[in-house]
Amino acid sequence: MTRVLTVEEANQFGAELDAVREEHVAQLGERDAKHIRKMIKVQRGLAVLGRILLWFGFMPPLAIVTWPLGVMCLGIAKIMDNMEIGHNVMHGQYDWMNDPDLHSQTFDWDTVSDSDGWRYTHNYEHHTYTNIIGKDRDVGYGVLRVSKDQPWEPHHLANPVTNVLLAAGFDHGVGLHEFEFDRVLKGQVPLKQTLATARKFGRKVVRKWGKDYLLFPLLSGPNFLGVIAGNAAANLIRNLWSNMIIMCGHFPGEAQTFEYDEEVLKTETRGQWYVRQMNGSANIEGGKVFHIMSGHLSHQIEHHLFPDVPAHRYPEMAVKVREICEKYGQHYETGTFFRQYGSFLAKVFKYTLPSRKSVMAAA
Amino acid sequence: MQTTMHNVTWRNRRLVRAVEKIGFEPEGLNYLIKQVNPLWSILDLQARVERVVQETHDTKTFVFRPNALWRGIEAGQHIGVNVEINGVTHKRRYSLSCAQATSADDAKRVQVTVKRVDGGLVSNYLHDNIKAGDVLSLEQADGDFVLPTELPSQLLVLTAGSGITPVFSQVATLLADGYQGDIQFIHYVRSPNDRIFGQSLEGLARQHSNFTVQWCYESADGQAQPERFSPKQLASRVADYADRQTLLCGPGGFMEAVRAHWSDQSLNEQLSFEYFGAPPMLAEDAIDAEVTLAGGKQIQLNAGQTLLDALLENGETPKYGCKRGVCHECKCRKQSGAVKNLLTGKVSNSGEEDIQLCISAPVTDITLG
Repeated sequence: MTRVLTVEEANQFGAELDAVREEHVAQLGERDAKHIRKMIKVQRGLAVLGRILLWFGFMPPLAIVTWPLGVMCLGIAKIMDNMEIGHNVMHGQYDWMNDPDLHSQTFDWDTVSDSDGWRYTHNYEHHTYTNIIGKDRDVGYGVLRVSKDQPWEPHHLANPVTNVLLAAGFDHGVGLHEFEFDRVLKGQVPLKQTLATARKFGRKVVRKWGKDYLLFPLLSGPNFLGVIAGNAAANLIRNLWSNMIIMCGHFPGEAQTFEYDEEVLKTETRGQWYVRQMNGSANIEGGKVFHIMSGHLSHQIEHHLFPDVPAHRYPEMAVKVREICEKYGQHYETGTFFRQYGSFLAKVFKYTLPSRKSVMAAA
Repeated sequence: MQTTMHNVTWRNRRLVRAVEKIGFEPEGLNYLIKQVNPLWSILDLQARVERVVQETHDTKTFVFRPNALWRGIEAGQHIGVNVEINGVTHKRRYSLSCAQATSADDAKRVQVTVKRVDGGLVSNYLHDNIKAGDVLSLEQADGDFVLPTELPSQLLVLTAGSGITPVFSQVATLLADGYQGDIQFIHYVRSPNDRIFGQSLEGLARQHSNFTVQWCYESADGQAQPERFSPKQLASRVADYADRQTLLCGPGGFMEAVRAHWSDQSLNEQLSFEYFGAPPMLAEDAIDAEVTLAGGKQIQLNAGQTLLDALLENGETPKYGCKRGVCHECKCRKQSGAVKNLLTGKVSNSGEEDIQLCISAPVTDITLG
């Protein structure tokens, strides 16, 4: 269990983490530039290879091999684009390079979610109000109930089904997330804003669907349907994988949620912010390839402590972070992928029904 | 004015735009093409270094052969040179040191002349690392310091140090075009060893009877009298200087002295000039200010800093480029507060508008958005 820290302790804890951050920021240079460029090179290579394999799959005997291979390559390319490259670049991790192709404000990614809107809800809302119920809209992505502190609503009875649907259509889910439907229904969002969000989302959906389900199939001629199916399969792989990794980020095991208290937030120190980030995040253990394929979100704890430090440094930073956590009696939530995802799934089932506390609160 | 890095002509083609609409990204294709050969880029201006010429002990000329996206030059303009040092892209603008092209073959080349600056990151990198055959990323020529369309009958050229480059480009262009007026070229330089284009200028003077070049050495080495600019000194070199149209380029202090004298004599209309870098800030403009950033974070700006200086010093990572108000990479939305534009001296209103961080100094506290 995590020990509750006094303000002074929290500030010392923060100062030690700041030192880890400073150490790495001072080292930024060629090594980081090489890493992200290599990632882009591999990703682009796999994307081209995948498209070509799908393209040539018009001869049925050959397609038995080329189609699944093409789907794998393209799926991995999309995962890398969204996670190790897109997510991290859009956090500003490589802004210091002053390279317009790798700058957070201009980067766009291969998903239907509008990058400007995502930057706001993700970089600002989620990373500032991490796991604060009612403030961080990423808690259950507005559709799932993953904590007993979330008020129960009847649609949570479908929690396990919702989870499967969300995972399968995760890119669209993330895009639709920007609409803030819960607030729209309560009339808290001006119509103009909703229309603007819809326009941006619509434009990206048309572009991405146009590319995967019209342009590339047309280019392949006789193998039109094969390419459509291949692209759909690659998108599905990307959605399931990214969803599973992301659900492991804040909900498994002892990762905490927090109550919204404006007064507390107003006076929160940098140290206390670190403590909250630390306790609201969970890691997944794995090797180098696994970390890259998860965009280093397997190091969700380090990511939430240092969101704008190049993610490939998280495994190194983690060694120090764990030592510091131990010193201050802070629980460092980590485990294998199966343990963490299993823990999340268990909560999805468990919180289908109202918790005793929320029933009493309602009564 | 060029506002983005990317060349837009290619994008304007209808077919590409149509394909782009349904999800095809030219950037993706561009990336693949550049893997094969960076010079084939369809979006980025790239150039092969054709030759590097040692001009003086601390000055080199780099002759570039840009790719098909090159749009050409006007004499007196500058181009952007981008280099990556330890993972960080640095952008600098350098004045062209070549005449406007007279043949189709000439038009394929462009050159800049760079002096090693003590502690200068990019100039030293160029000197130490760039050799013939390298490929660099450039930005298109730009700048208003160009020859007037109606040429005067008498011209005076005043340059000091590396300020000679853009004016050399102009004079060489004039003479190649058969200009018949009289040109007096006065160059202030530390010593004979520091003369950039010494031989080229002497050669031009031998070929053209209407062109005279005079060297004024500012260091006393081997000379009785060091020669620095003063109205009296200039009059001893060119008696009729007040009757001439004048082109001026050099370090800040030198230019201030010349401009002050021209202004005293009400000759401002006859003077055109070009600064390297943002003009120095006058003491009266420099104030401490508080700058509020988009996320609500506040940083302290010290008197004498531009907004870009202050942001970089505080570890922020805005997009930026030339640091002299040319490339517009650092354009940013100001929510409130007034800034002074160091290039024009104009003070903005305090409302919401786009500003260039690198040439904006606060006049009040500022909120950026």
